[in-house]
Amino acid sequence: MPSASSLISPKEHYLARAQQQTDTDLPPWLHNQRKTAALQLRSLDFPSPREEAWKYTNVATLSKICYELPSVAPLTQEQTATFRAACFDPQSWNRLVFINGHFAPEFSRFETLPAADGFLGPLKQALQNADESRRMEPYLGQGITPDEHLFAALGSALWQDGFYLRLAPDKVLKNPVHVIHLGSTGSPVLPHPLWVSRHLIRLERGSKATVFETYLSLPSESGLTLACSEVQLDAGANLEHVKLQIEAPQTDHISSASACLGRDSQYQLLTLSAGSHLARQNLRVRLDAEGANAQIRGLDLLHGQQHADNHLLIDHAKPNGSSQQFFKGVLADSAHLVFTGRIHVHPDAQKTNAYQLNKHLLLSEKAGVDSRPQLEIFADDVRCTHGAAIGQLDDEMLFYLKSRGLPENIARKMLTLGFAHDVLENINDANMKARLETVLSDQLQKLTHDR
Amino acid sequence: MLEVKDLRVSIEDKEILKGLSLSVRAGEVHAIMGPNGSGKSTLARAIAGHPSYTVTGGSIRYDGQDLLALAPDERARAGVFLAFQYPVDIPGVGNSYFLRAALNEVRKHRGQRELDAMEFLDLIKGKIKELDMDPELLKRPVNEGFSGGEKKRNEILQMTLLEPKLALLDETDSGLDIDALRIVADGVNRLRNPQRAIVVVTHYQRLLNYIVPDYVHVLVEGRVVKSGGKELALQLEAQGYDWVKPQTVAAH
Ligand SMILES: Nc1ncnc2c1ncn2[C@@H]1O[C@H](COP(=O)(O)OP(=O)(O)OP(=O)(O)O)[C@@H](O)[C@H]1O
Ligand SMILES: [Mg+2]
Repeated sequence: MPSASSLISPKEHYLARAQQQTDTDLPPWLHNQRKTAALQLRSLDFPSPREEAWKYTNVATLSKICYELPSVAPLTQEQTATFRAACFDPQSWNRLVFINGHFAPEFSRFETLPAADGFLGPLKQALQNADESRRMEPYLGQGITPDEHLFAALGSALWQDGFYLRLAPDKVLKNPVHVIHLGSTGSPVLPHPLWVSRHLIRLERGSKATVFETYLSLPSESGLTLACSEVQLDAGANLEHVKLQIEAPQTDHISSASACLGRDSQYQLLTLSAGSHLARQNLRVRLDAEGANAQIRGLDLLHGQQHADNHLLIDHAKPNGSSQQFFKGVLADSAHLVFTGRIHVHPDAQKTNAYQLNKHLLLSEKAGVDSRPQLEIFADDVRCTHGAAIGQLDDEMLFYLKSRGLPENIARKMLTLGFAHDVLENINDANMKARLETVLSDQLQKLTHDR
Repeated sequence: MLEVKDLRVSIEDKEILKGLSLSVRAGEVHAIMGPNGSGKSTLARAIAGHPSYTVTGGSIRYDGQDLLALAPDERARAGVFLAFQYPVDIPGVGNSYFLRAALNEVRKHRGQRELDAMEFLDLIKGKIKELDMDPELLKRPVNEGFSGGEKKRNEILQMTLLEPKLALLDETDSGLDIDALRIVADGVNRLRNPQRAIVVVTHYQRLLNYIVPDYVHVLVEGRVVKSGGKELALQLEAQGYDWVKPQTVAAH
């Protein structure tokens, strides 16, 4: 009944959807969690720019829309082509595909881990397994809780599916996992689809994995992606995590990721965002035991009216931890980028070494950046450095390149690529690196041509 | 080949070149000398088309066309090359990648086939050897962390690669050790031919023993105040610039 639904507010609409969630097969603990999330949803409002954390990102437009959960539908030719274009992963990799938030077994292929090694698969499938469900309970929904903001509550109350990876102690997952999220309108065609996913990665003591996530949507999609990822690294575990966001220009994207790092564990996260209309990434890393290391890198390539907001909290709770935040942005046209990097060092966290650098390149006078470092240091023996720089292409460099015969647009692209490229430097896997380089180069083509 | 007439160039509203004329024919080598700040680099950079230099009067014709009507990259593709006095570092841009891109732009313009990575590597390896350069410099970002002399050799490497019709060398000799000076000069001399013109800006007569000029010009306060043959350089070396300067006063 479209006429009726247009009369209710988006929040009422989401509450109704939360009530209609028919996953009766979920374990009771999760059922309760979703109920709690729905209750939270009732008491929360859409974040407003009056709140410090949302000061530069206005969600007013999307708060007026009743986004709708699409159902499972076969892919059209166009959708299949878009999906195929994102499949750079070699045969040996694991691939899990989610279409409109639902697991798509026909496009997925992944190894079934022996129970002694862990679990890899869709979250809902893992929950059917009583053992895994019990193992998940202390982690799923604990890193990102529904009381944080309305989108977190929405994510908790409405998630459709996601991926789950658990590795048993000392297990090394040799082949990377590629998780593809494809958004489409589904069938029947929805004007405003909502894609909600939830992921959990738990690496037990000394285990190691590489996870590559791709978020994409069809060219004309004006949907909303809500993604929540929780990462738990036990002592000595090592995760290389890449998130590539190349959604359509009308898509909005709000994601929250939370990682909890155990003793001497290592977390490497790289986010490359080139798509979507509005993208808000909440990233929170807690160095929860001694000697943990977090390397968080980000690259935003924005043009047109795109707006991206990277909101980080690096929480140093225990001694001898180290963290590096390295974020770069390239902005053309009227694009806008926000960076908030909060480093919180608890009184306990002596000998912390925290580093933050963000550098932005403005290719247009109308583009803008708001960069905010926030240091909250409550321990005395720490090293904390931060820096931010915003600049334009250097005229001398541009002239140098042109004086060698390179046309303006190629010279600009070359310099821009030179600026952005080092964010990708530490990527170990050659396929992964090549994929990111291709996206970078394609996107820079859009950012630098004919300006 | 190059016809500079009454050229007036300003930077940030300050006039640097005050009616400079210079005529260079194909096959010739010209040397430009003159005190610091007299406008030698300004002339070279204005010919290359640097956007900070405003041409307020006069003309530059190159190869029968109005050079000032061309953008810097068009000038380069048409065969104008400037070896910079202070080559800029370009972080993040690989030297080899840059050189191949530049060469292919120029080749395209000349109606030649573009070189693929392998062909380019073969070509550049030979050139690198001629100039006695460390091949590692190809892998590094353009000029980044290069020593003064390495930067100058990298300029000459680009010149020998792009094979310009008009090469302007702005103090390419300064910063080079004695051996490098000869190697670079040899590189320049190999390029000398009846179709090509070379203009070298230098403070030192020494370079001109290796690259023997047909003409020497003295630039003072934005004008050519004296021109002569290669012996003029020896005279300047012995006597300094004072004896040429009064003429500029007289010209006012
Ligand atoms: N951006 C600028 N703003 C103001 N003056 C400038 C600028 N760039 C150059 N100049 C001035 O223009 C004059 C000529 O400079 P130019 O570099 O052409 O001299 P030069 O003859 O090459 O000197 P040198 O032998 O030291 O290389 C100098 O007085 C210099 O200070
Ligand atoms: Mg000079």
